[in-house]
Amino acid sequence: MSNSPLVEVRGLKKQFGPTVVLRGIDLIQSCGECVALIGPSGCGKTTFLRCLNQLETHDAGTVRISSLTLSAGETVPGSKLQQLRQTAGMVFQQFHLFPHRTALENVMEGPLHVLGTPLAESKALAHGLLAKVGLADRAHFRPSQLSGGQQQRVAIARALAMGPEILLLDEPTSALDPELREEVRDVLVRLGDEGMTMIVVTHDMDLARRLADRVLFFADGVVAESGPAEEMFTAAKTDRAREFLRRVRG
Amino acid sequence: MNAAPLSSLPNPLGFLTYKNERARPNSGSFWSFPLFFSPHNPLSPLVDPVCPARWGGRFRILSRFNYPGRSRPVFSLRLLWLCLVSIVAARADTWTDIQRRGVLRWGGDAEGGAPYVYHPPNDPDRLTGFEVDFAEALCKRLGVKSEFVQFGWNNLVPGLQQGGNYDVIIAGLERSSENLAKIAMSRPYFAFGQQLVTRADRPQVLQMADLGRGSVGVLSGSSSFHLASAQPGLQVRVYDDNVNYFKDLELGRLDAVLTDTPIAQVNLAGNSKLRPAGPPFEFGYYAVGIRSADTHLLDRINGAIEVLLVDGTLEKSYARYGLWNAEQAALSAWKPASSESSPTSGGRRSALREWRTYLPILLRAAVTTVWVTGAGMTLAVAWGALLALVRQYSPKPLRWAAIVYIEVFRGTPLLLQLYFIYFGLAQQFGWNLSAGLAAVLALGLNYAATEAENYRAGLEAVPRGQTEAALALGMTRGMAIRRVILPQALRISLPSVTNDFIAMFKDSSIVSVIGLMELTKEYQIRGLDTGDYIGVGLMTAAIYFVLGYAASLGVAVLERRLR
Repeated sequence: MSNSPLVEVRGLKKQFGPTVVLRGIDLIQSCGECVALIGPSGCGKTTFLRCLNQLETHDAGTVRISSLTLSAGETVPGSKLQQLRQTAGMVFQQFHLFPHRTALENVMEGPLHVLGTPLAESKALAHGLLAKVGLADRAHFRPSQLSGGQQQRVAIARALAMGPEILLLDEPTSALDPELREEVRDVLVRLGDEGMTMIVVTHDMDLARRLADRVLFFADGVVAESGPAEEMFTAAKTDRAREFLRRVRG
Repeated sequence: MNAAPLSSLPNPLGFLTYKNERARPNSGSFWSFPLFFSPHNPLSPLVDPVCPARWGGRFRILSRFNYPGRSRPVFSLRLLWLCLVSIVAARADTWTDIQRRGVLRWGGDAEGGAPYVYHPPNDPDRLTGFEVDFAEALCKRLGVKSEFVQFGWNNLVPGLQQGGNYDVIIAGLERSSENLAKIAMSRPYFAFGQQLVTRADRPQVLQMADLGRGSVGVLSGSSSFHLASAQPGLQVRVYDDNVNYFKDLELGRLDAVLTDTPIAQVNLAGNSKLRPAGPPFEFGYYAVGIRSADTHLLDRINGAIEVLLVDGTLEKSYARYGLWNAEQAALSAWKPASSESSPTSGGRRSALREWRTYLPILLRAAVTTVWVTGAGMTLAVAWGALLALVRQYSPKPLRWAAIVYIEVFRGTPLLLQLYFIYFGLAQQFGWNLSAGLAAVLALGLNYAATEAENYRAGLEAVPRGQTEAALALGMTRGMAIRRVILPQALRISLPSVTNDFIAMFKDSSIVSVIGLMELTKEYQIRGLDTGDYIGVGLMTAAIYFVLGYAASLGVAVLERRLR
């Protein structure tokens, strides 16, 4: 990889109607780095993440991921959008697996139909990824036959199947029962160890601590504090961050 | 043969109330018990003299419920009334009633009935026709007044048998063994033959055999229908009136029409596009239909007809319509054949006992029902899906067009759309669609509107997250719809689509109005033939049920596989 950072966000702003959600966010992230976004509900973390792959359009600022740059107000051609979304894979809080397809077909869907990879190759890839998330034996199950944790692991495999340079994770463990969270955390931590670049929005502090190299604390549409994970969790500088961390730890 | 435009099914339970000629029309209060169920009561559940036959069977039945302030009679009351009547009331001859009343009421059908009974176009309030003249001369001879009662032609005989609000039938009713098995018939007052009519550009057609596998239009339930059906290979198209088959013949949708000589004569006059194909054949007689018990009335009418034939009264009036000929002149010498049957058991046969005959006939008609529904639903499903997608995802002008289409086709009657497509397009643009194509188009285009709404409900029921997940994989919008949204929407709407499939299966009976011989029409004709509406009805219902149930089972399997 080149020396320039993989993600470069400058002055990103977003508002919904009269409500200003993001007031100017900057983020520089290098390849292989894992960033956790934490903060109280409604502070704009998820919106920021969705702006990165343009499920939401931003009102001001620029986003660059890998070689793709998006300025506010520009009409983005469809092909560029698709390219962006192939570069930045996404995992949703509610998994959003395709219920009419098996786990294997969910994972194959992208390579086979979007990238045009031959069937046999897509299938081998999908089997490999399912094995990687520990679901080799569940390949032919429908989502409705899988537990929440298993569904989320399939969703991760589905995102990885597109060969993304970065993974955007929107509260990947929030919809899961506590005992199922661990299996998803394990998969993500292993991915991070392998050098995957990730941005994870989360309320799951165990996940943030294990996964993140750096933590950004969002409050009222700005990054109120940021720093190395260890430092944030032990010695946050601002009162708000300390207060927030004390509360989520219970 | 006179013509009813749209025949209707008589109340299948109506015969249970056979009785009561003596109740007089409009006498007694509305709620007085016997009169309530009497056929003379215009609000009776049994007959509906108010509703013109042209509205068709389905509407006629519905119209019974439209009278304000009357609930539907209870079946057991009818049964009770039947018992009372059969025990207490020994029927007097109708002739006594006619004399006391001073009026003879004759049943006929004025719809499309030229030259029999019709409203002349320049004076729509007046009734005219050679049968009107005949009836009036007959009544004059009998010393009573004449009163015309409008009744659907197809159901005149069962109507008379079941009591009816008319005393006799004068409606081009053939003196056939089938009719003689059900009712008594007078001596003939008119001689007719079968006439094959074809287009002027087909000089090689001289008889039915020359048509090969061609199509021939006939009147529903007429002797022409039976003759044409007996001709192997011929494709028989059944009409409910004697106007539209000539129209279709001119347009090239039919190869020929088989009809009675008077009808052919009227419609060939001044029409250079049509010509008679060969001479008339299969001669027969029209006679007055009379209840089998009315022997006095039969004698009186026979005597009167003989006088009218001998004294030249009929010659004079028939000549005015150009109908007097050698066959009519021979009528005065007519003698009944010695072997002539007298009415037996009301002429009802048990179709169930003869299921080997009737089941194959009904199954053949069911084939038409099945392919019309199959093709119609295929069109509805495909076109409906496109409409739903346009309505849901396309830019505004197109979206509005889809909405207008859906609202218009959902908001207007299927029957109207069918007529519009079959007759309207031919009239306005010369688009000469075959009956099968018109039927499939009408059903398909109409149901597409309903299907579009089913799919829309399905599309809206797919969670937003599915679209986002598909887009996040790098799919285009179209691909997301095709690969992710549509399959799920389809699965959600499948039960409603199945519902509509079964509904169309039954609605397809409407296509008989453009001459397609489908299951309900076949039921109607065979019910009339046998008089066994229950037996034929049970077989017909069984076919509908088996086919409909098979379809639901098929969809259930499909649904399980999609899950």
